[in-house]
Amino acid sequence: MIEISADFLSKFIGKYSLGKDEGNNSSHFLRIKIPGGRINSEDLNRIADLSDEFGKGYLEVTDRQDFQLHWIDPDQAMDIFEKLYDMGYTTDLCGQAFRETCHGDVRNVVACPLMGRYGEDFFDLVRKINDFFSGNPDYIVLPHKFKIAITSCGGDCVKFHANDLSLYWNGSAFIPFVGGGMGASFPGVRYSESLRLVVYREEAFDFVRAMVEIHRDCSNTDSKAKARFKYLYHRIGRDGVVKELRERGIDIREFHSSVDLRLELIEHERGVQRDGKGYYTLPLLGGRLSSEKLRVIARLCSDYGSGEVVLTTWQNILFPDVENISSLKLELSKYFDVEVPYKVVACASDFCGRTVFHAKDLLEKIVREVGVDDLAISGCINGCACHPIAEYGFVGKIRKGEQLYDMYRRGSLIEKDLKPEKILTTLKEGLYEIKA
Amino acid sequence: MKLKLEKNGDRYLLDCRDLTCPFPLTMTKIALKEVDSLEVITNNPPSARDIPEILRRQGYEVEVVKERNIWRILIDKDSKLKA
Repeated sequence: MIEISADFLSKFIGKYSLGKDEGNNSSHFLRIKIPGGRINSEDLNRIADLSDEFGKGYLEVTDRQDFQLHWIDPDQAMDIFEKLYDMGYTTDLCGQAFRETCHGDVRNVVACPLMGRYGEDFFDLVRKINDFFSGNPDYIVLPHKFKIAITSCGGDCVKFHANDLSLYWNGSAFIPFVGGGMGASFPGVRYSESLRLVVYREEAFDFVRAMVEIHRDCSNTDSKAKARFKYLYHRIGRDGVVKELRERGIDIREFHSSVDLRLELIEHERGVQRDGKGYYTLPLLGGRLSSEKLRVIARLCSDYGSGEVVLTTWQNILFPDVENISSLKLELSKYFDVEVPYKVVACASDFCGRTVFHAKDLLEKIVREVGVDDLAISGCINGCACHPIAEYGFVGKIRKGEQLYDMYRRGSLIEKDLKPEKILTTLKEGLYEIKA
Repeated sequence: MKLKLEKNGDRYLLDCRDLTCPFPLTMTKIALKEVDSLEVITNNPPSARDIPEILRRQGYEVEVVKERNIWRILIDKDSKLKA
């Protein structure tokens, strides 16, 4: 046997990886976790540099508050990881390409972009969860990925019902919701449901850890199609989850309400923070950005705010702590189309190779030509853009080489097998109303 | 950490199962600095795609054998390089 020293790899394995692309001449993407979406001006510039050096100057804001780069050469990955390590960022584990279960990790914890500036501040909890699970050998072998959302503003700015675990702050404690998932894996699209429990602030981390452990220990490991937490919840229900929580030492406090929260899906577009300062969100169609534009954002968040921005789950960028919103918007309008709608999202199907007419391109066409302002487009049944929760949702499929999309309205299927050009006609003429 | 290369017939064996991209490729390239003939095992589809493609471009002879959910990637420095 030969033993070769490779100590430099130790700090990267389990915390960093590249995802699989198969489109647009890209073979790998890099998804950088930005906990809670918060990032400062200096790091924005450094990520712009990464994009220039390794990703052709292109990058995307994802709907889990990450930055995503493409065209990553795997031979250069260690250089990239080293730079991210210096910045204190990690990546998704990207184990989705494995055909078997048990390559799942806890994904970037999404949080209200105004956390602490409008609602209660739980950013320490967000960071603690991210830091604890990222690369932790006990938790990077989950049956499938696990998605967590935390909101404290009173609205649903984090797509609450699409997560495996969501914590809703009701003013004095968290109400946990579980079992959401928008993909087609078993048992299909599921909106998270209230566990009807009360979790106090100081108990929240242990509660989250126990929930991830329930997923790790109890979710299905025989089939990847049944390995998401929503399938376990479908099987064991609220009582089963509560039993597992008790066995893990969690104090169970009942929340006596039989009504599930149905929060309005919102984006924080512009407004006033608790401290009287303003916030303004720059809308980005499909989250598409260039390194050059990211540098503009880095500069303007320092010039007009506190040198920080927050990525949102609608693939936009929120500028907090702004004294003069009008001036900021005017300056941004020199570089961006600031009049595009906020609640429009599309996945990166142009890179994963599952579409011919790509989700982000279709999004742009619909917004520009029809003017729809509440829209989510997923390139395939994996539902990466959470199409069921939008006013208008589309999910793509290829049949005999032809690109087709199914059309949903608020989660209900209303048209099947639409060609992209027919989508525009259908929306323009309101033809779906007749069949709905 | 140490990479362990077990002797397996004419080749050394590098087991990269359960490792995500790009680590199977990175480890393979580290190992090829020490040995001329290598068998890499991976169950990660993009690694099974990348390793042969990249190493062939760099002049290695590469053969891939698929067995259920794993790939055995047999790598040799080509005769020109060996000479």
